[in-house]
Amino acid sequence: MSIDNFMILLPILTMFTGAIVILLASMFFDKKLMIFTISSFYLAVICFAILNMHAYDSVQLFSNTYLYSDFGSLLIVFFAIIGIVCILFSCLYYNLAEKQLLFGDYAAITTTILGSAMILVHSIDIILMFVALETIAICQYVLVSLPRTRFSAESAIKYLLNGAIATAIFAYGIVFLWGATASTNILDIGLFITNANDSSVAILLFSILLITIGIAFKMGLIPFHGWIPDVYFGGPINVIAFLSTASKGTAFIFFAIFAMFIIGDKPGSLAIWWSGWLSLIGILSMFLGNASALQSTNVKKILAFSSIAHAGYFSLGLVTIILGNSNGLSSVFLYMIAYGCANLLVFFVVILNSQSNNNFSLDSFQGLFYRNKILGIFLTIGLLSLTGIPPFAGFIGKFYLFYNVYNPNYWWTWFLVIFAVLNTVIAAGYYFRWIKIAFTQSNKKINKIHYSNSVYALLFFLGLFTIIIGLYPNKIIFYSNQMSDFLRILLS
Amino acid sequence: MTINEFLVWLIQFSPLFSSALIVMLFYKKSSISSNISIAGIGFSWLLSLWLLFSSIIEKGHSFVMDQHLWISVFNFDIEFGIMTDGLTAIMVFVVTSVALIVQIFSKGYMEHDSSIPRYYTFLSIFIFSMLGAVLASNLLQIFIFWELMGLCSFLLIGFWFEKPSAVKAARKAFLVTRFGDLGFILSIVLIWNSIGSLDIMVINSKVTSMDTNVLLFAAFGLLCGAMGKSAQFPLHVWLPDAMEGPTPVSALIHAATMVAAGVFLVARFFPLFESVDMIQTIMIVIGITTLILTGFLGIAANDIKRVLAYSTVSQLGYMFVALGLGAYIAAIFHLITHAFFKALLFLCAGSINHSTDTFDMRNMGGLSKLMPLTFTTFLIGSLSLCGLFPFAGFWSKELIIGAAYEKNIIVFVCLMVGVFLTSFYVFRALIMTFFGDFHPTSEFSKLKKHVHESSRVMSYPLLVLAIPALFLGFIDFFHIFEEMLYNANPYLNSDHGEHHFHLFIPVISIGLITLGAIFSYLIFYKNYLKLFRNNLNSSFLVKLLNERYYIDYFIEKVFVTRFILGSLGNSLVFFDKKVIDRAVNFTGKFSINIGQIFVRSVNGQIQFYSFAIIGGLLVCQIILLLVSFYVLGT
Amino acid sequence: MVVLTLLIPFLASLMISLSPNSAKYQPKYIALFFSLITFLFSMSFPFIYDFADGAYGGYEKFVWLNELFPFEISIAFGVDGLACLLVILTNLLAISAVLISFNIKDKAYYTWLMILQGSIIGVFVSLNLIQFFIFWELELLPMFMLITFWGTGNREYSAMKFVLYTLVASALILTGIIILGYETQSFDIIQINSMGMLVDSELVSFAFWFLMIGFLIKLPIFPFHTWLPDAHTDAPTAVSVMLAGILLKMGGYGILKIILPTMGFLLNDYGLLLGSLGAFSIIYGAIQTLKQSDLKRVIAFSSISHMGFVLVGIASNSELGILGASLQLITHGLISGLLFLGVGLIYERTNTREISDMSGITNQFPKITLIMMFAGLASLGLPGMIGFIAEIIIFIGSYQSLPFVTVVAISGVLFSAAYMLWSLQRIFFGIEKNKYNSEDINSWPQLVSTLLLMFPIVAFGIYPQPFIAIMEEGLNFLLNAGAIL
Repeated sequence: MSIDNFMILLPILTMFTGAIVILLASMFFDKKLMIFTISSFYLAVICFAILNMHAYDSVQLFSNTYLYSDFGSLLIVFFAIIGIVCILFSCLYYNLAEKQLLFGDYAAITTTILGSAMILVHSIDIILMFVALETIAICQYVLVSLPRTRFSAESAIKYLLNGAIATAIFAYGIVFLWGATASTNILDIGLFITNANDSSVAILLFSILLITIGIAFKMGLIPFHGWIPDVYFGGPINVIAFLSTASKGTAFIFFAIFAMFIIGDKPGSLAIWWSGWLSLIGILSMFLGNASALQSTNVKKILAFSSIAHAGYFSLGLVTIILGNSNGLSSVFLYMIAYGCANLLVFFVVILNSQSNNNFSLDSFQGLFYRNKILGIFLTIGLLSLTGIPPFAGFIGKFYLFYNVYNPNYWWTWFLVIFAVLNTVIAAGYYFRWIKIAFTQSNKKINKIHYSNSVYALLFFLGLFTIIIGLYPNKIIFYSNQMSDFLRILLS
Repeated sequence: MTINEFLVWLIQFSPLFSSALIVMLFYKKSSISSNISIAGIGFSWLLSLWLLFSSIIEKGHSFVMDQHLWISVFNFDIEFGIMTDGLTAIMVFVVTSVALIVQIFSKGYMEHDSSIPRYYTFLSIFIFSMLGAVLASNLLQIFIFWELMGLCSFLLIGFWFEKPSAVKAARKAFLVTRFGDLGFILSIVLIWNSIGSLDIMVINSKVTSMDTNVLLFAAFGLLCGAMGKSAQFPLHVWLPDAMEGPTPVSALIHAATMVAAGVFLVARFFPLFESVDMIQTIMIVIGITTLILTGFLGIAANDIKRVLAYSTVSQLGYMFVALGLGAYIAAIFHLITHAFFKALLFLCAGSINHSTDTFDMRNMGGLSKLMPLTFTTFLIGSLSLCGLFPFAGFWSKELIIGAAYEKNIIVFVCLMVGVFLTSFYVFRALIMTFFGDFHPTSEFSKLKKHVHESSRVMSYPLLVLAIPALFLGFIDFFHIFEEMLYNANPYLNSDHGEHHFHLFIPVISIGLITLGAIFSYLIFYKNYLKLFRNNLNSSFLVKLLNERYYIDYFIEKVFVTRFILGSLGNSLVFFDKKVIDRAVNFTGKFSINIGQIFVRSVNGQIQFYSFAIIGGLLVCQIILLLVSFYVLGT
Repeated sequence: MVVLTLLIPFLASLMISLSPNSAKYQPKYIALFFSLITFLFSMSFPFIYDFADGAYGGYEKFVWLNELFPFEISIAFGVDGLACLLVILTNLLAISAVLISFNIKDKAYYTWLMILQGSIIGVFVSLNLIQFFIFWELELLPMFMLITFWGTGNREYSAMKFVLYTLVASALILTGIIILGYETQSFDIIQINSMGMLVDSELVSFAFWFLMIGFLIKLPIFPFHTWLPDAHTDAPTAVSVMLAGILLKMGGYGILKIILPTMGFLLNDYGLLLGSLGAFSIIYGAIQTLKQSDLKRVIAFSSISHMGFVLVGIASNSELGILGASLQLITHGLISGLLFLGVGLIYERTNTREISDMSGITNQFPKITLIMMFAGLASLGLPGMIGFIAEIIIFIGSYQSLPFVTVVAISGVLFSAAYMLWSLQRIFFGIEKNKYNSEDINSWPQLVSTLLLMFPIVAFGIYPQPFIAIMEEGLNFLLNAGAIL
């Protein structure tokens, strides 16, 4: 391993080192020092990634199992930022001792997940992928059970058991894929598939279907969504906030890159089949997720179902990639950032609102705006962004996604666009209801609630990001387009 | 004699200025406001006199006036201006004269009313609109003032807005005339689309180049508008109800403004109408139907204003018949004489009402001794209305009947029936009001000593109006009038109103008038044929007349209430609420219900989740297998 | 200047929300001040800009997104003749809306009102489809908030219905915009319009219908109208004014600005269908008004009826028909705004909108009677007022291509007279039923707010040429699809 390779891997190595150091430090350090340690590690990761971004050309490492690119560095920055935001937020405003969640453990596991995610999005070998995915999954099981309450334990065990089935299916898929193509490198697999004749399509399809289902479970698409409502409902909410953003994002990005490599530039009959399934599942998820959220009165459930619905939108983005749209990856990435910011924003407000009484019913938000104006405004921004109302990031994300979903070569992509667009209307039903409740003045005496400036700073950061991305998503798209262009060069 | 355009505009706008002045400065001062209004219309009258003389000197030819661009957009150019030909000059003079007298009369009639400024404002705008319609050089311009007139009639008929009946009558007047205006709008649309201009001169000159069908519909549309305003059958229903307004307003509406406007419109576009035979036939049929049907209604009415109203409709029927016969000059002539004597009659009715507080003739009688001046003038007006020699009405009616005799004998007979009817109801009204004694059962008889001749401000106008009602007919001897009207419209295709004088026609008509008078006298004064009368009262015929042939009943109760508001309205509301809105709500509820059903699948059972995963996998696999088998063939 | 006009309302909303809670800085005065400024600014457009041959005034362009799409996307602002008038109308109604709500003290209320104003201006001055859509959507939230929290009756249901209904419209419009983007490889409205008509294809007619139905929902036209009566009934007065006055106009504006220059040729195929829909809407709305007992619902359905004229005019695809339709947008904005102001004034005094509860109140409220009668007469298309001109031009224009539809539409004139007079008479005239212990209009804000709208109704009704000339210049461009910058 040359020094260059080391530099390229430095962010990830820092991540894992950080995880160990955090775990150790949590035994000795007090809260302030912990925060300092964690932030310094994450900042280091971000700095390294940014330094790497312009220093190296894209390169394959470790017997062609690891692909370095600027886009990958960008993803590292993205994950690191989400991670630090989540951890800092949990630390600042969640009385961890009381909730029986060891902050050190939480931070260390989170860091490990993110480290694995960073590897996952870079990996171009299915074995490495599998390892990274499983690391993430196992860490998540632990994370959910961390508070050691009855609910979280139950959620964790449900998650674990279902996850095991999904992993098994995923592993089957990998095996069949290897069997069909005699390679574990997805670049090779992609080349094989491009040149494959129709007779071998069936087995390829079979394997890819298994892999798709394995990942669909992680993304929470219907009918592989069973764990989501239960885990969201039972798990600790700060963990859920992290899960719904960072680890789901990992699955999307991974799937996007995977699909891109497999399909390349020339989508054949395989691609049509694949996209057909995925859009079917996506449509189901969108509609049923939104419809279920519409009738829920518990915010955790609403968020759970809304995340299922959003997974449906994501799967449409994945369909565009499978069908060979060169902007597909960018649209998924943009939507992920938009969704991540808005989702975290909403989650954080939910956490802050429910902090005192642990009440997650929709009614507990009544008069939020009058209790705390800032909270009310940020909740509104988050929800509007999730709905897709301009000028927030959610709008431009959705618009770009829908614009790319349509593929002139496949007429039926129209229905996807229309269906997705109309689904946003259903979604608006519950988001607007929530906003309304937040602005409804309750008859009871208003107890104004206050938080420290640092929590506002975090909220402000996310809110600002939501607006900035909504108004000017140029740079992000620039990087992700570079990435997909590069991959295209690589494949051709 | 040159004519200044500004001064002609001033004829029209001086009433508007006076009304604006009232609204802005003297809205709280009754007497000043009425004086201002009278001054405004008086000024108009002076100018119109001058216009009339100028026009007479020019023999009715149109003065060249500037056209002013009102709208110019794409190819839609509308220029507004003034037409000052013989027809206009005469009409303006008649309108301003009658209006001036009515305004002066109103000063006495309305003296006890609390909202005189409002009254005079509306009245002035009304006259302004009528003058505008008469002076307009553009079809759209006519329409604008035409509609404003409709508005003013609405405001004036509903002047006493606390009275529900007045409110209803006002609405009825507006809506019925507007129904006719639909045709007006349609013909504006048709004419513009066919010749690309709405200028009256251009329209009249291009009649020959227009498509026959377009011409037919355009003429018919205009006719509908005219029928609405001139209260021709079946759009006559508003006019009798319009009695709810103050009596001077009725005088104005019935004499010089609203109803005259319809006839004026047809006269204005006479080349258009006379070029389509069918329209002429329609006009004759409508005119005859109107004059006979409303003639009968006039016999049955007990309200003196109502009798006069039906007589107005009936006389308008004469004018329409005349127009249909091509006797354009005769129609206008009758319009003018009618304007004066009908204004006179209404003002008399107002004068009677002012001192007796009633309009019901059954409560009157013997007023000839108590109100001699009113009686005399009313008598003059009545005889003029009957068409008795040598009153004004005789001359104009004779022209029409003569024209009918030469064109079509059936029409002639119908007109003669009309003459008889007119005389019958006119004398009935005269007898019931002025002769005999008070009706034994009337409460009014107790007030006998309060009945008196009206004050000077009310009685002098009657005297003034009696002069034209007496002598206006002689103007025809000089042929100035005919010449003016004839020259007003250079595109007429035949001679109009020219016919040979047959001595037997006036003889027959005077005979019929006398017959009518005698019948009236016998039935209503001498109470002969009492048996016949009693039978008549209970008969179907009387009921039919009292219910006004069930036309109002049909329109109001059956068509509007039962159909529009009833079945159609209810079914549309049902459709809106129960079909469309329910479909909308259903879409929302459907989503929620789907959600509720789906949420049950999230039951916390881990086996179920696993089953879903495996099931999903299996379903996908089966699809794959099936399709790959059938489609891909592997 | 255009950008400034757009920004001021947003600035105002920010200032209002941040203003201290003291008697000195009452939000209503801030709102009034800024809406006056925007109005004055927008009033200057016709004087400082030349709209001849469809030129855009105050054109500003900023590069925005150059990475997302294969083509560059710029934020562009500018007004043509049509947009200029609509912006002026917006600002005029905004002043009225602020004045009529002078008894409301909430900061939030004025904040939302200003955001509403700003986003509507944004719709009219945007020259980029995405930007257009952004402002189009932005207006939802303030409307939702204003109806939900300051409305009356079943306001929460109505607000939600409004939002979801209009979001369906937005969804369709978004789809249409996406197709347009694919077809023209641009989102720049000027550029798209200057390309001339698109080539007829299945996709284009898809786009046509998506956009058309989206805009028709907003207009609204039968059978997509049911949100409007509910939203109107439960909205506060100022919002009703804005809703009827301008929000509906956005639908018509969208058709004129986006559909006509690109896909106008499809009107030749579908004109009869759309025209019939418009004519049916006229009659349908009119008959519905006759059956309503709530005064606001009467006016709401009358709006549906009047917007039918707009559709008839547009469907005829003739110069005059389209001109009339765009005039009708403005005139209906003024007239229905005034009607709703009047209803608000009545409601404030009588606390009821049920027609049957009122009778003969004219003696108590002569000024309100005058205002409402004025507005009612304007609404029924009385000549001398602005509504007449629009209607007659529509009739004249649409006759050539849609003769039968025009005949049906003309009959709407009778209906409008019938329901307007009938409902107004039932309220104001007849026997006095109740005595209300409140006075006629006696405060200047209420008087001014109505006078502001009455003046242009009469002034341009008597002499419409200056106003029509601006409109014509704007439409020249859309009709001839010729790009001149």
